[in-house]
Amino acid sequence: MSTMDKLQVFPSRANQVVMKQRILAAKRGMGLLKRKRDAIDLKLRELKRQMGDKEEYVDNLMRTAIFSIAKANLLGTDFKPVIVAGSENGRTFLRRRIQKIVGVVLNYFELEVSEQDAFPNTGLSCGGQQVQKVRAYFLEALKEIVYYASLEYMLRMLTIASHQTNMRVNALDYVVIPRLVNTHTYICGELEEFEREDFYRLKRSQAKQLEAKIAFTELIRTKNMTDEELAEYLKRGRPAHPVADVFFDDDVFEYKSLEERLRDAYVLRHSKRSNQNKEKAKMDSNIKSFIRSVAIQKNPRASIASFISLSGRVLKEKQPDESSSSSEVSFYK
Amino acid sequence: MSTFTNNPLNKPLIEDVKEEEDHLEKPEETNVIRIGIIADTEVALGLLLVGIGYHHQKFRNYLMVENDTSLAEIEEFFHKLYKRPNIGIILLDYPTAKRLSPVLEKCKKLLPVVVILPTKASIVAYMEEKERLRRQRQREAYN
Repeated sequence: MSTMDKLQVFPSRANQVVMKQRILAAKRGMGLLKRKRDAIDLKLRELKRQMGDKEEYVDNLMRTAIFSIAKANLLGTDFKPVIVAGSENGRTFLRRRIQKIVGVVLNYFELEVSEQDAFPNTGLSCGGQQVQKVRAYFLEALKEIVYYASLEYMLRMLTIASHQTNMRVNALDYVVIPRLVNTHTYICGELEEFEREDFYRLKRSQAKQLEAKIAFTELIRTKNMTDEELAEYLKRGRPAHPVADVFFDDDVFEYKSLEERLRDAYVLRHSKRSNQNKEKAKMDSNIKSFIRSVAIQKNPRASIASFISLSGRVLKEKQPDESSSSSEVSFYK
Repeated sequence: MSTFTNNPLNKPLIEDVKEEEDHLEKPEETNVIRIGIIADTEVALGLLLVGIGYHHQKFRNYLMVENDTSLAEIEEFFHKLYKRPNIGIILLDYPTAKRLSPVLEKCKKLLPVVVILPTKASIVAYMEEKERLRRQRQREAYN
């Protein structure tokens, strides 16, 4: 699952809750953004319609203005000051204003006209009235032009906003929410896995304890039986429980005889040593092995005594394996 | 129209627009937006009468265009206007817009807004084009 797109978090219960909350928040946010996007689209369509109407109006006004200036020319109006003199300062200009629509900040223009006429000397010699008319018509036309340009400006900004919102919605829908959901499922899976692991461990330890208990009860029951009783017991069939594979040191239970056995082992070790030294010269290997096998008849699963007589244990282990005579010889040396 | 094509005072109609941006401009209020004009004499005249033209030491925001004005000059002036941050609207007239149409297609900035105005000579063609566009938009709206 390395290709699955998810966040890297530690799978814990706290994180699971956090992820769930994040998914909820993301879904809510996406709903809101979708509504915003729809609202922006509605507004855009409205703007376009408004612009269409405005355009016609602007055209009409411009036509009027142009006719007015043509008429003024026809009447020989004196426009020389306009051509000759350059205007130093533009008295009429625009101001940029801010408007908020559908939660989007939009700018638009507002025309600011000064009281003082530009080129006041125009038309002084001839056609002053015409000049005023031209001014009036052009001013009106300009106002509408500015309004139309504002609409266009707002339209552009809204398209950008719509595009942005759409991208955000898509991002949430196809990237962020799937990622969060994947993380959430991953965390749930991991938590379940931990639970299962704990459960398994618990069960296994319980099983082992049960095994140990059963083996112990069995041992207690069969410990003091004679051979016949043992055979009977075996024939009856042991209860169908699994045998513990744990090694039980049954000699530990015979605490009373423990010290006796310790003493015996000690004595035996020392006697063995002296015997060995004596017999070294005399005996040959076969007889040696025979004596050895006869001498010590102890439980292979020896007790604490075996730790004291390590040599004894080695000796005992060699008992079943009587082919390796060379090693015995080396031992005696 | 002769009063306008003959220049009585021999003053060139197209001012020298090849100056660089002057860095000696008085800083204006940042909220003030200007209007740029590239149009023929009459329309530009009318608009100037309203008072939207201005000029500084080395820059003026209007250009009167004739039939014989070179395309290069117009283009250069247009680029100057377009780049200036305090110009919000550029008014072009119809024949100039047609001449500059490849340049206009490359304009993708948010500001300035380019508005096309008719001229006396081109009114008929202008209205026809507008009708065509309107019908096209209506057809698209239905789809």
